[in-house]
Amino acid sequence: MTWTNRLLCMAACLLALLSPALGDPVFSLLQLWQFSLPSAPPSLEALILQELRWPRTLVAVLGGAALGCAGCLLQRLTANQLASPGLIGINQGAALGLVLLIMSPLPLSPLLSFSAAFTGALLAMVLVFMLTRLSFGFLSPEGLLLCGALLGSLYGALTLALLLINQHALEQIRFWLAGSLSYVEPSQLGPMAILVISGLLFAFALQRRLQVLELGSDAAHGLGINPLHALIQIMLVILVLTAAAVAVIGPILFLGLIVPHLSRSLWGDQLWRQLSGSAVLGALLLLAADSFIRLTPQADQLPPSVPLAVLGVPCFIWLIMRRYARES
Amino acid sequence: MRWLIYLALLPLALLGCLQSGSVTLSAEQLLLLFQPSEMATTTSQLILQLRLPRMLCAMLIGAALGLAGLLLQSRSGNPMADPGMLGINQGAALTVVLLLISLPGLDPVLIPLAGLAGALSITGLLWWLSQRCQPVALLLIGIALSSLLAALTGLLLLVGEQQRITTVLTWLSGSLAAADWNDVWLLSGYLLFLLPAGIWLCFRADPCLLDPLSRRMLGAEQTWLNSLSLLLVATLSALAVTVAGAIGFIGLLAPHLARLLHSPLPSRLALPSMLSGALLCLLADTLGRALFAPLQLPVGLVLAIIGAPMFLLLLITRKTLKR
Repeated sequence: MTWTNRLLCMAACLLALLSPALGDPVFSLLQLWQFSLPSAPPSLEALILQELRWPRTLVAVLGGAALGCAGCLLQRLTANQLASPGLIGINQGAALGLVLLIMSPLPLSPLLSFSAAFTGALLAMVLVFMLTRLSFGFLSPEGLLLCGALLGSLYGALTLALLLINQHALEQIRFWLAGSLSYVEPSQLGPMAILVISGLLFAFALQRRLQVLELGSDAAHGLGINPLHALIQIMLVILVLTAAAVAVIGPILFLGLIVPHLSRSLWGDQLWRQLSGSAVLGALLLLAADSFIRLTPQADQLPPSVPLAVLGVPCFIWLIMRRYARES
Repeated sequence: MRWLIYLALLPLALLGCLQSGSVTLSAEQLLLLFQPSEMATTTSQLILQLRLPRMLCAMLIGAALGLAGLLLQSRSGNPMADPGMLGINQGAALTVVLLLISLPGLDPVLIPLAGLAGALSITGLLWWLSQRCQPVALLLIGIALSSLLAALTGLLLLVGEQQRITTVLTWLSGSLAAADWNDVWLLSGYLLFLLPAGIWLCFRADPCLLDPLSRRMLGAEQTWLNSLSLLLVATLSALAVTVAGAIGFIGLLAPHLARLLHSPLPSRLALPSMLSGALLCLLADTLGRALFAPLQLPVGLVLAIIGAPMFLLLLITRKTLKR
């Protein structure tokens, strides 16, 4: 651990602890401490902190960690530094699944919405890998991205069309669809925490298998690991993490792309370090974007995906330019 | 002369689209239009003031975008290029929104010029980048760029005043619902000059099919024609965007539909891609209008739902990008 790493980890912890105080109104440290305790006398400030700010902060931390970790796993798994669940259409697939659930007569519960998002994400992932295989060859990097972007825009258009037909559902999830943290309900927090934390634990438990997979399938066989099983297990972890995040905070696209790169440049190539770094940095980045939004006047309706896109797209373009530079 | 198929399909499609919608009209009712009678006033108003200008707009925009797509594909040597997917349309939309929010009450004839500024700067950026990377990468860059520009447009909408935003929002989703005769005159006024120029450029674009080395050996270097073509692509997409918002996929699909019937020479494809673009846009708009009758889906949305699977099909069957 060099001092930059310590500084970053400290910044993440500090921001997570102080973020509830930011926004309109801004609380002082003393107020933050007083009103956050469950024993605080019932007042408007206590209500704001306990019912709005703390759940929002925790959701940002969990969602950011989940998306960052899923991005890191996917990039390592496909050996493609440009991949991320958002860019290959998995987030939009999860969103489509959720919209279909809202339009169906089934009641809305956290578990049910997670399973709808998971189903959508699963189908999207199977479809994108199948189409890539048909059009470009298995795991071709540019094929995966191109098919993913197309499928993602298709799911997005389908979602919008469904919502335009059913105005009632549109009112219900307009803000969620833009990827907003403003409308998080405290009741969603528990199931999301369980799913994200178990997903993260599985990710760390599977990291040795992923490292073996990176050596190639022959080496994996030789080391006594069935590559297909390992592949499916890691994919499932990616799907659980993505679906848990998307079901609560909506499809946020560029987080899963930039975070693993930042993490690798800070902590190096080793999988354990990159993975844990991705989780920390993802949480930090989403939290920072959300705090920035809350501090900016007029912008409290702004989805955090906008600052993340402004940050992420130039990074993405730079990465592409570096990878696909023209010879000569 | 196989492109005459498209020409023959066009009147049929026009007739069908004129009839369908939230109120379905029979052929007799259409005929009543030509007889001066008191009974037909509402019908004639429906057709003359709502459906006809909208359909004409759809066809003009489709033709413009089809031609723009063909020019872009042949000049960039990338058969998957499309002004919508590369972010050129989104760039035009961004500057138009900026103008509408900052300077309301502007002469509508000037709005395409604002769109042109945005479209041109994105085209220039893409051209600069394309000199430095492989064709596949350009597509990825364009996709990322258009999502960034869309996010920025959303940001602008948040900052602007609430009252103006509602009008901007309906326009932005790629809808022809508000198209009227003014739009038709605006479009046809500009397109009267732009389409012949585009066709002429397509006729000069045949050497683009050769690889750069043979082009140089034959003395067919066309640097100034390249820049002129890109200028025209930006102008055409800016024009389409000012009337109908960001519509994607026509510029991609129309030339490919034309190629199904034809040789790949750009000079042969100019008219067919314009016709197929017009047909595609017309059909998509009518589908969005008629499928869920009182509700309307924006044409951009319908095109995305039709276009993305068709594009994937093209990728799978042709393997154009496979190295």
